[in-house]
Amino acid sequence: MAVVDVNAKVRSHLAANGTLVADVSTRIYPGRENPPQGYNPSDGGCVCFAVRGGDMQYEDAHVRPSVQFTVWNSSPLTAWSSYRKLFDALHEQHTEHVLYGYQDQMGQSLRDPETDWPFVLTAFQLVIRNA
Amino acid sequence: MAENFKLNWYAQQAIAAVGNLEEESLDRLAFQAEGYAKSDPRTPVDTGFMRNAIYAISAKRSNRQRALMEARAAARRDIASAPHLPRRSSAVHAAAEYTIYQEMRHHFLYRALEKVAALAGGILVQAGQKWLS
Repeated sequence: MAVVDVNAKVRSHLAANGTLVADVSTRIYPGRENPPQGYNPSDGGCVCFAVRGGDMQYEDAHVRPSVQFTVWNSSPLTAWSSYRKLFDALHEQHTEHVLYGYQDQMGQSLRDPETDWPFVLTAFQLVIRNA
Repeated sequence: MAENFKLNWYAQQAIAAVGNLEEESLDRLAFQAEGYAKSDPRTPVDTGFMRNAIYAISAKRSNRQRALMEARAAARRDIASAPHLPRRSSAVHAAAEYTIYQEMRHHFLYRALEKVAALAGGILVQAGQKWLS
């Protein structure tokens, strides 16, 4: 049995949240911890995410990835504001793409050591139907 | 109703045994996690400072001194201060301050915790055999 495309499911789930999209637009990048080349914090909020572990349950009917998110913006305060919108889109929420989400690592404000760009690091445990 | 029976009540001994079991289990879990994090081939190594600065702490013992010596042998840098350990807990401390940026990319600490969580039942059984038999 093949495993569902977790990246595509998470991206679809986030892209369906109007409040988050109003902040980050289409800047939702799966499979990465840093924004892609061409992004600048002055562009506005940006969400990057990557699966860091997890398991399967109910005889592989559910996939339970732990997903790390980095949320970027032009300042620590705006990055935190974008993170809160991500939290609202994921924590104890569900859509046809993601059955359930739960924050298992509180947001932490950091700066990228190479670019000095501010971002918030967080992680969520998700439950996704493997179909 | 039965008349000839005797009831022995060992509440305090049971409470003490469970307390010892808890302490032993937390200790074994933390030190197992330290071992996994340091031996994972995905743990990035350059000078070895970051990997050597990973150590376990429990109520019974701490590998901090050894970590300090091994980390400083790799690079002349300081490691972060020891964290406060709440009661009835154990921890793995990654004491090189830039570890978080490597963890973001390689997730070696998270994978170590996943492994330990998967083995937790067996570790608890071993601790139980020591303290509850």
